[in-house]
Amino acid sequence: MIAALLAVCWVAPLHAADSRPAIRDLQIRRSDSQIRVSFQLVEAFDDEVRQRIESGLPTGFVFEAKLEKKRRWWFNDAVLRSRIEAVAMYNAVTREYLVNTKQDGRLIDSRVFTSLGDAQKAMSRVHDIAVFHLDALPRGRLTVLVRAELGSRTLLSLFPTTVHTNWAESEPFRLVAGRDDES
Amino acid sequence: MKVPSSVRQRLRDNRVLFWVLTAALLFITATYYVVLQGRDLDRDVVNNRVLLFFLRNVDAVLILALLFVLVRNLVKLWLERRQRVLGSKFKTKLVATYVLLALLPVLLLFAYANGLVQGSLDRLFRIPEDSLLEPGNRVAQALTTELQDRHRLDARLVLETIAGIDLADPNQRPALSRVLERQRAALGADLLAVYEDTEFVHALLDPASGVARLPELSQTLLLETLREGVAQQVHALPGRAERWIVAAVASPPANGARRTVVVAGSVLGAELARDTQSLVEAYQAQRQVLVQESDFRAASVLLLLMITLVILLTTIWVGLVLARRVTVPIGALAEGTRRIMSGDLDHRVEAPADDELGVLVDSFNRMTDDLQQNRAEIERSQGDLLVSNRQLDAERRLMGAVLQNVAAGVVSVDQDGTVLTCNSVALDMLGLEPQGLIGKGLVSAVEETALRGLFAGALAAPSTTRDEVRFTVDGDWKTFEVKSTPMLTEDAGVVGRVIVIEDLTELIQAQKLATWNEAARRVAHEIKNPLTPIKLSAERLLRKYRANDPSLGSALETAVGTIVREVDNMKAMVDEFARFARMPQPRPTGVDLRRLVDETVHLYRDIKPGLEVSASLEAAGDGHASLDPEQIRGALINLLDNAVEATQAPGQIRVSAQRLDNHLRIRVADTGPGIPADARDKLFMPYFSTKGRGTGLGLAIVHRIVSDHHGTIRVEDNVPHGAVFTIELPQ
Repeated sequence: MIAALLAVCWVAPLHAADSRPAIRDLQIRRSDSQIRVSFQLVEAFDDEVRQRIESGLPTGFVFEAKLEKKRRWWFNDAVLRSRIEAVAMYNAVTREYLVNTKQDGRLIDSRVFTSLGDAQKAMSRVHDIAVFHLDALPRGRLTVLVRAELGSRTLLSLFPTTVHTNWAESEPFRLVAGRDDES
Repeated sequence: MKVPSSVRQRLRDNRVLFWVLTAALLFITATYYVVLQGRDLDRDVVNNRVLLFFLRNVDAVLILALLFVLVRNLVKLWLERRQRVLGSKFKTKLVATYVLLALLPVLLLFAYANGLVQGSLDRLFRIPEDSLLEPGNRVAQALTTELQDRHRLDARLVLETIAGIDLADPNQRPALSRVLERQRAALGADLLAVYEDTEFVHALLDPASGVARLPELSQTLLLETLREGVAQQVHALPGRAERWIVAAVASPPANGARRTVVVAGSVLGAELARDTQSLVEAYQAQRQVLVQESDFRAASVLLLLMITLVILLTTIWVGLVLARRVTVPIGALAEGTRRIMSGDLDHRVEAPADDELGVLVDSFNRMTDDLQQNRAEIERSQGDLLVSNRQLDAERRLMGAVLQNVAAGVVSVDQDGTVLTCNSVALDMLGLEPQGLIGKGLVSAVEETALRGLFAGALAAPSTTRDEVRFTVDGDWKTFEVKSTPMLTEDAGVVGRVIVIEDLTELIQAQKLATWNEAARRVAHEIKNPLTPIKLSAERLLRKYRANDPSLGSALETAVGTIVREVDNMKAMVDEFARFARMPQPRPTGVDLRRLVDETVHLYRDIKPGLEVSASLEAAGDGHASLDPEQIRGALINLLDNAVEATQAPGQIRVSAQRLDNHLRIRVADTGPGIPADARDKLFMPYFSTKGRGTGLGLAIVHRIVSDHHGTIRVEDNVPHGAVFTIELPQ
């Protein structure tokens, strides 16, 4: 019986984890002095988010990316940080979804879609965006971490909390001068 | 009200803390607002989020402040109770009462108000069944959908119609235009446009549509059409209310050839466009509200909570302040009482209170002032008393030394006759030991009968008495003068008597010796005086006899007469001496003093012309007295003889008798020249005379009679002139 309980306790979170929002397919590519990332946010669009979009309220996600230098005996050192925001606004009169993408407050993309599915894809996918610009090559093993801020919730209608996905971490890599690589 | 500096400092600190927290909160809120402004968020959304953020933080600060105030005061109370601080129990009850009184109604009010607000929000977010917003939106959307469906069919029909026309050939453009014109007229569309892929080929616009220019169809529409085969779009005209409703259909892809895209559309009139837009926007606004329901509810709860917390914090804080205003003076009073009890009269209660407690504190401090002044006065009095005691002790020692060194015996007794003090001389005179006299009755302690009677009489007398007594001490006769004087105090009157016993034995002996010397001198003188005439008479007779003087006979007769007369004088003088020497002891009998005095005075009524001799006996009572009448009469006669002889006419001699408490007083007053002061001491001695003649025994006999009656005699000046002899006889 105890084994059954343990099995339930072990399996249930795994099952729940599959249905929770998460960053998938994180890929990085170095191009000159830039590090470009691609990833996808999955399981982020529930009925509440869809209704919010359909109501015309600006709705979106904030992706936080950070470049860390790995340290064996201590916490990793965050070398650079970047924020990518994808916000959708629905116009019920024209039946169009405007999706704006900003990086660190700067508009980098703005597209109009006539279907919610396309708008969701545009909001949840980041493709080959240069998130880090390197003035000097950091030494050591590096890694890129990404997570999404899904919005805020209120505990007991009183205590505000920000809902994040877990950090998605890339494979560690080293930067070598004059070489473009793709992983 | 005087506010202590510590309280003022705390208020300043609280104000500073309040403003720092407020500034920090506003700064954080403004920062949050700026961050949200950077996102593509609706203005209302930003404001709503900022408001929620602000309310949450305010509530958090208020909750923390409330918890801090409560916990801090509870901990302080707990510590005070543990340390048994005076007034802590009262303060605990007061604070608990205030907190409960503040908590219960405020929480109930919060619960009730929250219920009301949530009910209102329920009604707000509940879409009424007869709401027209959703049907209106459906109608508006259906209109657009229907137009788009129709234009999609139109576009497909046109696409089929122009399938045989080579769009790339410019020569066939007129044919294309004719076909499109026919189709537009047949279909009633306002717009027909043809594209090859995304490249514009031709378009036809109905002039009656009211729109002068072709719509700028977006690449998005064309690309979606090429991707999906069909697409629709609602295109708003810049600056105008009308909208294009368009649908696009693309020919199927065929071996990489360019595909034909036909777009058909119509203009939605301005009025209809505005109406449908209003319907859609109203429905969207409702949906936005519904989507933000949780935020609205949270904001309402937070707002209510903030108000509740502000009220709660204010009431509890005010309650605590009020409790402190009550308990601090009470605690200070209790501490003051403890300090005063321990003797610290310099302590003063300093408590900020301007009500009845302030009056109590002032009264307490005034009471302490009075206590301090009284203590100072007591200490000063104690000092004075100590000095007085030392002075009294010194005086007592001096007095003791004086008493121990005076020649007289001094005994002090209280009103009951109990001996208080006694010097050694008195003990020697009385033949007693100290323990045999101090604290005992004076009369009972003395064994000598005569002395006992004398003491009894002296103690019973109301005024000063002076008596002489003789008794044997160690076989020798001694004469003592006993003078008893009342001890008077200013406040208590007579508190006892001081008895001075003086040994007169040697003095009397000396006086007797002197008296006898004087007597011998006077006797010799008196004897010598008659001898001279006798001698002269004898010598004269001898001369006449030798001379055969014929007058011998007459001379003999004269001489014999002189001799006989002088001898008679000498005999009379000798008789007088004999009588003085043989004076018997008095034999007291019951006598009518008034009669005795009156009869005696009667003998002198007409003795000298111009001399008035009278008696005053009204004060003699019934006149009964116990005395020797012959001796007293003799004494009166002696005094009256002297008075008559001394008083020249016109003059007065007045004799009075008076009965006092326990003795008789007889006064003989004349208006003569009086007694010289230097003669008064020797006036009652035998053979002393101021007249230069007589035996000088008259007043000595009077003094002897009075003394034998245990009485006293004294002489004083009469007013305006003369002398007064006063005899006092105990009865």
